Amino acid sequence: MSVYEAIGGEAAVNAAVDVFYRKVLLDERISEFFDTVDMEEQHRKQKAFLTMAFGGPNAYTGKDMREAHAGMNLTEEHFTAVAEALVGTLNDLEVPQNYIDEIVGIALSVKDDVLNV
Amino acid sequence: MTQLYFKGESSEITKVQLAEGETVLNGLLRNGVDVPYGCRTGVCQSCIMVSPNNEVPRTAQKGLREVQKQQGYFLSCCCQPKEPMVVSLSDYFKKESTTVLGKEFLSDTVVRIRLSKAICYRPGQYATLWKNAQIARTYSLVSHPTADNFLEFHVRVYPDGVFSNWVKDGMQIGDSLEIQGPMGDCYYTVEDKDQTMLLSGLGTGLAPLFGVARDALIQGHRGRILMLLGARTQEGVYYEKELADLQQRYPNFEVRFSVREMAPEFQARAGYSSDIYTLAKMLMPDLSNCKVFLAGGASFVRKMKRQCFLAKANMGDIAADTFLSFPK
Ligand code: HEM
Repeated sequence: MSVYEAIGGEAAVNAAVDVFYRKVLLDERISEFFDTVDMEEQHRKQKAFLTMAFGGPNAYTGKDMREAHAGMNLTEEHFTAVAEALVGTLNDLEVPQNYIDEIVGIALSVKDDVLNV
Repeated sequence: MTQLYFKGESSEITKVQLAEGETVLNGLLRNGVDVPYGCRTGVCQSCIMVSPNNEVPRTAQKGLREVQKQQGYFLSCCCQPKEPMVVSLSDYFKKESTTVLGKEFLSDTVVRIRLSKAICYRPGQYATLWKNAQIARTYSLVSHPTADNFLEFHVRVYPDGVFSNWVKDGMQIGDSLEIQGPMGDCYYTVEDKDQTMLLSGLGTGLAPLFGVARDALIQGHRGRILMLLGARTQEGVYYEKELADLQQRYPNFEVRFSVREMAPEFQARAGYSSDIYTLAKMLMPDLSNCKVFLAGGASFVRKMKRQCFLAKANMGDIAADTFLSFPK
């Protein structure tokens, strides 16, 4: 069973998305990337992000991740901030540590693509 | 350049070349194809079309219901296809005929009109009113489908508003006009009757919010309902009597005003504050498990939505009705 299934699949994403989105909006290191006019569209993208980070079904390739984040000049600090928001969210939702570790592993596996290095 | 195939009433096909970035609506109009449209900003849905077997761009389906999306309906004013597309008019929203029953000034700039009950709706939804085949505008339903035997709309009169000035000067009791709708999902759907509700709006944002609040109260909502209304000046505050009546009748309903340019005599009056965002924060600092309804211009809705979300309202519990200005 994948982490995604273990923590409750789509329901887990739905539970996490508001908490996560609030965290990134309040984090000055990264809020500008997410503080867009269309909150519903941003909400949808964050769900896509969480689904992927939880190891759920998604059609993104490494190349897609490169393209999605190209031109944003993302740095190590940005990545850390997103990872912290992710872990903070999982802690808030009392997700067991072994699953958190696995989710962090998934995020780290796309780090180079996201940072376009 | 994208190829567009427009299927007319008798199934004849008109071929239109869309320019780079051109919308389906503009392309058709430019080529003399006579199709209905209204606001051109994706709100009034007058220009709805259907594409039988193509992928419709998602951005052209905003505000449509899920079933409509699946059936290939889209708004031609917001559709800039990248792939060739076959489109035709839809008869999804038939226009109904309605009669003017009443007309009255609520303030210097807001006219209340009452029309005969030509459509079924939920208070807070909106409908498009057609002056004639060319001029249409969209307004929120203030009335209640069972408690009132008329449709009520609040029309803000703008100095060069073609439709609103016609309402103000030309429209007569007994006139008939066409109505199309209802649309929108800013209405009372609360399952938990004890849930707290925050309704906030600027100007004629009052219209859908009044509809929603009254509907909730009529349906027996028990939780606290706070309505926060903003206006630029004291003259902009209207409907005070109706709001006071509702407050009197339902102890769980409370209204607060926020007047940006407040006259000194009002500053002292309890319950007024000049900044609606501050007032919202003060009165309801924590919106967890709260249902939020917002109505007003785009910048108000955006700012208030963000603030409410950060005050822990769930995204799914925030319903918003954004009034867009009409391009000239
Ligand atoms: C931890 C690894 C990350 C993963 C797995 C990830 C995943 C994704 C995915 C799946 C999308 C596409 C959503 C869609 O449009 O369907 C996306 C878009 C986006 N990501 Fe990330 N992301 C990561 C890190 C970051 C970081 C560090 C930032 C910036 C601080 C960031 C900023 C954005 C932005 C702004 C978009 C939207 C781009 C657009 O508007 O099209 N992401 N991300």
